[in-house]
Amino acid sequence: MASSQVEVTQLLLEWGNGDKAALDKLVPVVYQELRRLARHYMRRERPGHTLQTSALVNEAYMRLVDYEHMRWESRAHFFAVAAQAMRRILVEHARKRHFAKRGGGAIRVSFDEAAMVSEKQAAELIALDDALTSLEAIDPRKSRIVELRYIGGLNIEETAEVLDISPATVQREWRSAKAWLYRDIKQAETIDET
Amino acid sequence: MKPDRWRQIDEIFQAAIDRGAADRAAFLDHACANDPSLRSEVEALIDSHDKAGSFIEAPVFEAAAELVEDSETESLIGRAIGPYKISAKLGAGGMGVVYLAEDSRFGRKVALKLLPVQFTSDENRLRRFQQEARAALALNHPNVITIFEIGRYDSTHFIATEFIDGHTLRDHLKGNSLGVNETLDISIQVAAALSAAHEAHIIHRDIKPENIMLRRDGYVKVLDFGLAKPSERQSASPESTTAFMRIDTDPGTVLGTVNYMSPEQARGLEVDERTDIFSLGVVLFEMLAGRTPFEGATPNDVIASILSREPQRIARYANEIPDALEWVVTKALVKEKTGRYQTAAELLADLKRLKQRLDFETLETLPDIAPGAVSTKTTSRTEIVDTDPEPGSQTGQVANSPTMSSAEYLITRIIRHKKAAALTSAALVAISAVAAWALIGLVGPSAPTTPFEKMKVTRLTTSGNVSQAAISPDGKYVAYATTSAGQQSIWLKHIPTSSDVQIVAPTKAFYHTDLVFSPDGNYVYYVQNAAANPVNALYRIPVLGGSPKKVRERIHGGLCFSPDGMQIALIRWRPSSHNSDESGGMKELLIVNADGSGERSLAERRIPLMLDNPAWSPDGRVIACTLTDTTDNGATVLQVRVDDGSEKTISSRKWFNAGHLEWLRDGSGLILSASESQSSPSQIWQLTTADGETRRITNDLNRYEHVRLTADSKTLVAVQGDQVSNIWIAPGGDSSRAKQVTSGLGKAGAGSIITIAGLIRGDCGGGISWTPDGRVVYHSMSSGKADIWIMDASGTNQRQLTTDAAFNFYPSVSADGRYVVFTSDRRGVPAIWRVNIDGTNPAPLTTDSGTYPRCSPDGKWVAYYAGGSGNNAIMRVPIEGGDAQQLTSQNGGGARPDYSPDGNQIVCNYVARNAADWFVQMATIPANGGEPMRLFNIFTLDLMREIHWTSDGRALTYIETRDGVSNIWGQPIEGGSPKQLTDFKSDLIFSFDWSRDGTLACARGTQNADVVLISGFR
Repeated sequence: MASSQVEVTQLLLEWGNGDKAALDKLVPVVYQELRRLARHYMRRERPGHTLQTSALVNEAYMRLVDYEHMRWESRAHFFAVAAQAMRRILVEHARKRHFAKRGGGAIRVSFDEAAMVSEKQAAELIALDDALTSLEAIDPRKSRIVELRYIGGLNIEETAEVLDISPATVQREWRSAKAWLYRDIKQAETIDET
Repeated sequence: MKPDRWRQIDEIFQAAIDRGAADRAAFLDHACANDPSLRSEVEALIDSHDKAGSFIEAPVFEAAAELVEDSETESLIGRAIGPYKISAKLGAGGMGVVYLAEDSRFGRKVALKLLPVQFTSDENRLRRFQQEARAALALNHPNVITIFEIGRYDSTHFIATEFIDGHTLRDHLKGNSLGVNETLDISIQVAAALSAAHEAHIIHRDIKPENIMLRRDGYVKVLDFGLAKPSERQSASPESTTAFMRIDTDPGTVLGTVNYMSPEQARGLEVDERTDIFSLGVVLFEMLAGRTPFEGATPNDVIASILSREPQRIARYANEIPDALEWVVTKALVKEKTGRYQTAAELLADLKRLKQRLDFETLETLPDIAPGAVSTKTTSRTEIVDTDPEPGSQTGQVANSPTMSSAEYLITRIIRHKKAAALTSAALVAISAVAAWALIGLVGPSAPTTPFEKMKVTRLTTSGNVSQAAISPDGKYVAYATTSAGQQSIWLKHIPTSSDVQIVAPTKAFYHTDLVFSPDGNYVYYVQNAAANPVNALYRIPVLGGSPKKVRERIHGGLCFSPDGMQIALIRWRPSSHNSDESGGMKELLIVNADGSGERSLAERRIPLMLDNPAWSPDGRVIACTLTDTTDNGATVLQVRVDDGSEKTISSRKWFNAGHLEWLRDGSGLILSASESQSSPSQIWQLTTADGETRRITNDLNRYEHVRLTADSKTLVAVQGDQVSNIWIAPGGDSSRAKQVTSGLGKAGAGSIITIAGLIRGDCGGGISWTPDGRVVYHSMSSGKADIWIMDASGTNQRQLTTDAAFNFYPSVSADGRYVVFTSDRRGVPAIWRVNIDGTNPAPLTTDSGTYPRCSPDGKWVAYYAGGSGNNAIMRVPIEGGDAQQLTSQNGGGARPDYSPDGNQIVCNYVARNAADWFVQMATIPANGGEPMRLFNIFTLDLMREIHWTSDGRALTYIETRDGVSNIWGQPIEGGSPKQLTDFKSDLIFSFDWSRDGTLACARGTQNADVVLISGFR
């Protein structure tokens, strides 16, 4: 068993046992692993391959956690952590890209629609991150649901399992979280424009 | 918001949603009683819920991948991908990230596009992409971005392209509209790019302002040819695109390009060339109107508009849009592709005609093209402006073939024998109008280009075979010389009626240069040059009919009248008086009376300085001339006082070459044709005498020569020319099996080469050489400069081997295929250089000047021609470097060597030094040097004529042009008459080579030149 596996497994157990400090140690490890995996995926040339965050998180889990010796709750905890880590990765890059575009002053050679899409994605991801942070302040669970589903790529059942709530609750909370985020982003845009 | 408050809102929101729209109001009345702010919060949330749609429903999947990858590629700056050292990020797109990089092999800047891994991980997709990119690689056109290399380094696939210093049309537009002139300038270049691409069966599929670059020097470059494939992009429906946070209130940006889609593209149907025409139509509309023709709140609305709505008239958005232009745009935007322009060439032709037509509008001298005559009819395929006296003649030579292939610079150094010199003067005269200058170019700072909004250019002929033109002082007549079927004739066109009269009958015996009207407009004067002997004479013929009368003999050319019409200034070439004078004689500026009597020498220069193109100032006090130093720095403009012959340089500016000069009526300056470098076509310039300032009047890809002004200086005529040349491969030299393997290689730049410096015979005319493994190394201008390229014999895998700013030409591949030797002026003098077959390790083989290198079959030697310092020797130098040896004896000089296949002999053009009569023969000499072994009499004035031994060693082959058609002829080595080997029925051959298995590679093409009338240029 790799040392990181021991470490992550131990941290997950400690976190599951109520040690909040364990989470702070866990996130950077998962973060590094996700980045490494993502790069690895990007470089590998598998025909027809599409990189999905859920697959990435799953693989990170398999690599980081001694899953045969884990309690099932720990898996849920791991996914919650991984989705958070993933969010951080994405937003960091989105901000970097957004900044580069705005302030870089680079000469554009060719800039096609896909670039605009991802440029727009970057801007939107930043807006979403801001909104999620606001939502977390008043309703952490809804924020977590969005993280797991949208960033982590989990479906309703998986999300329910990770958060230990019913799928119906996930569904209900998802719809109000979505409406809240949508409204928050729209309001922020209006403010930006004026 | 407090968590408690949110919980309250959330509960009511959930309950309201559960209830459905019908019961909602009543429920909210009850639940939010007495709390209007609660109610408005809940209602806002419900509203958001209804609008949110697909928002965040689909996970970030690929976005995540892309963003993560981005962080990795950013760190590439400072690193190397193969030979490419990355220095900055230029941009990013769906096709990958684009970096500015330096190609360490050539020290050139490139744009390096790294393909995203998602893209290359799909093998089918990658293969399709590579096929397309290879096709685009084969596309050499001045308006298409040049792809240098498509390659792979480790797992990274990349494309290296020309780095363009400029900005996109999108940046240029910035939401505004452009003027009609600018719109036409840009769209003509884009249409030209599309036309060339379509000819090569490449569809762009993504024409839009982002893919159109405007280079600082005015060239328009279309990007990403063959890189976009509709099956690879998301289809038109927004629903099918990855639904990453699409917020519907922000339309049109997610799918940025739907606005430029053709209806068939929007429907997801098969697309063909006509889809590009539609997209260009949208771009045209946008340039004129400042907005695209099909707009909508969402991509779906835009698509609906593309599919169903007719575009508004552009006139709604912009003023002074000509009806004809409106019509052209409408025709490009027809929804049914069968109703549209069917080819980009048609659209290009209409845009060009329209530009000419609009330019012509203000020319009141033409009753049938009066203002207002521009209508939709004008875009029909009928040429109204063109008045071609010989409509059947589509192609032809600009002048007789010997004139096109003579090299004044070199010849002047060759000939010292008196008679030889006299004969050479025929060649000199032949090219006097354009001058054949040294190999060294002057690439000076570009003059700022002034937009001449009111300038009108219109073509007066369409035969394409005009060599000379002059306009009468009143602007009513144009005299011009045409060459058809090898015979030159002079015509007079009455511009107001577009009628043509032949005033000098077609003849093969003479060719005519320096056409000029007498100041009273009664006569056309011209210099008659004998094609076969060096007796040149000044003639005049009455404008209203009559026979030509000889005015004076023994002149070189370049004549002009004094303002009062009483005197003529002309240039006389005086050969050296004795053999020891190696300079090639003198050129002098002479004044004679209008009847040819008397003479006064005003100024003279010893060749290699050349005095040409006299122009008498309106006050009669000075005569301006071009002064060209054929050994170094190009041409300047000099003025000589008529009273005392004192001289003054008017402008510090130096051009590579300058042609006819004409004074402006107010004496403020001169109009001239001049080119800035070998690779740039000759343009029309204005030179202000007071401050020596210059500015360009024309700025396009054509070349302009033989400028003549009307008396009021309001109108000028010039000969406008271009050239097309491509490489053909003919197995066994069988022209019926010949295949064209390149497309669009021809460039206007090459056109200027062909007339400026006869020894650079245009694009590809700068030499072709086979490699032992059957690839073709060739000279091309397609990089915008004179460079050496390599490709497969099929025309694929074209790659540039030289990239320095120098002039590189005449490649020859070594027998082992390791090296390419060529002529380059990168150190100032044209010398023999060597590079590895991949373009690396450039090394000079000679320090003295030399050209026309050929590698020996034993792989040890390079034979070449040394033309400096009065020498005209065949030399050789070891291919690995070392001392050069002279191969021709003291008794004769030679040029253009080629080895026999067995390596024992060298063939060359040979001039015997001591012969009583001077002429060029074909000779074989021992490979180790010595007296000629065999001599063949094949008439030519062209010491630089290309000769190649056939692969079986049995014949000496050369290009013979008869009646405007070139073929390869062979002189049997065992004697007998030369035989025609190829049977091409059209076009000129500029250069050729035989492979070891007897396959012929040749550069073939056409040259076109017509008279244009330009007004409003001041």
